[in-house]
Amino acid sequence: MKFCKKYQEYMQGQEKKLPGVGFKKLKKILKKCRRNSSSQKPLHASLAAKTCPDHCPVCDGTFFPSLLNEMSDIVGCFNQRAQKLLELHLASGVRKYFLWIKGKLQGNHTALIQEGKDLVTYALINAIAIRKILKKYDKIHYSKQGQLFKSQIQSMHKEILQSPWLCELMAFHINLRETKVKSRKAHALFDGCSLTFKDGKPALTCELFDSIKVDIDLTCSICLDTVFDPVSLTCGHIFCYICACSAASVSIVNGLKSADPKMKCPLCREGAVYEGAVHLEELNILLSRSCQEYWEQRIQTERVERVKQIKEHWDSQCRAFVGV
Amino acid sequence: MSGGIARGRLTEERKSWRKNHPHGFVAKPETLPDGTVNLMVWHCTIPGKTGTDWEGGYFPLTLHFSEDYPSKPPKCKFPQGFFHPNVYPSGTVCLSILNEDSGWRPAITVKQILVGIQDLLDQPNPADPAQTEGYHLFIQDAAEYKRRVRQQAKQYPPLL
Repeated sequence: MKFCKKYQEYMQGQEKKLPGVGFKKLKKILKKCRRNSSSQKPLHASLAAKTCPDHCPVCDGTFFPSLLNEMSDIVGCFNQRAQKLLELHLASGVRKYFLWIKGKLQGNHTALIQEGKDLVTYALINAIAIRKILKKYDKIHYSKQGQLFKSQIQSMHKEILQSPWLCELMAFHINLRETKVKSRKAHALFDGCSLTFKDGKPALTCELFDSIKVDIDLTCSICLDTVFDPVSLTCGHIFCYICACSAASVSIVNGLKSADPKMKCPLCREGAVYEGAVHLEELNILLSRSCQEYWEQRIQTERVERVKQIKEHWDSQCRAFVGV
Repeated sequence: MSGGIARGRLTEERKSWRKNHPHGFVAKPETLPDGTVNLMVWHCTIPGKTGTDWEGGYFPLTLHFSEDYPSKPPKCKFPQGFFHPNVYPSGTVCLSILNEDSGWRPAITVKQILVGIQDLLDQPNPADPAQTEGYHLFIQDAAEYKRRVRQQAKQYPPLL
């Protein structure tokens, strides 16, 4: 079955109307573009049928803005729903009870897992859809504009695979998969997530039917060890909380919110990425279960470091107060 | 921010290097007279690339790490007076990835630094000169520049 058809079926099978990629509409734009360019009849007529000029008004004015809006809607919807779901799962006591009532949900553990699975599938199938339509664009235009657009989207944080909530949902899925869940038909698409170790280095792996495999590296590129108390910066890169604080030149007492907007990501050097950093609680739970020995050891060293930083912070506060 | 992170990172770098490193390169933390290891200073050797004028030379390089590593890059020094357009008379290497304000990222490893410096040896950057002699010869007298490079390679034979 062609991906376009598979995608359409998947989107129609959703109970709630979710934003998606307007495959048919975007294909129509590209077809129109083909027709326009072939009517100009340059010397190489065979090439003309397949290509359009470098700066094509049809594509620049319709295709990319349209796709950008759709991507924004998809990422926005995914982040919002994933955040809500994880908030609900990680809440405790009275807060959890209130959240259940507020959401008019039954306290159903199975429903939670199912929704988590649905969201991962939704994210990955849309990531493929976007990749396919951009490939088609480049094929028709003999250009690299599609690839260029993709990298621009990443810097705008509209790429769904960059979302910290995807990583959290994958960890959530692994943490809770012991519970048997009756999958709906749509999940023939979803092969599940797993935590893999290659040369002792962990990674989150997720496969979606035949065409995509997502690997999220869980090694902090600052300490070169497995991420501990992980945070994801707004660019999508994951670090240990204490390492991220160090890179942002802030103390753990003040936290990442107090980082200077000029501070760059240690991996991609993108600015203003610390303020919106997300604590990856589910991933933290997953890693603490999977690497217990390492975790215990790391807790000890972290404790020493944190106590030291807190002591330094209060010393400086006292000195400032006394006026020394 | 704190030395704990720097030492932890350097311990990992050492482990990683011992497990796998490029052929001909050497990188070892300094051993103090009392037998203790100082992780903040590494003594390294960079082999000249095969097929270049630098071939046959094994050039000593010292990496000085600060307590702020890896937020700040290490200072990399060849012996004083080392002949290369992008090496200061003091021996300090001038390379974009070692500059905190341009190419440095905490994700860059010791392995990448050493390979980057090896590449720099045979591909100097005339836009960023650090010494007069090396720069002028590289720009104006290619034959003499080559001769000086070969001569220097002979000065640093492999340590047996």
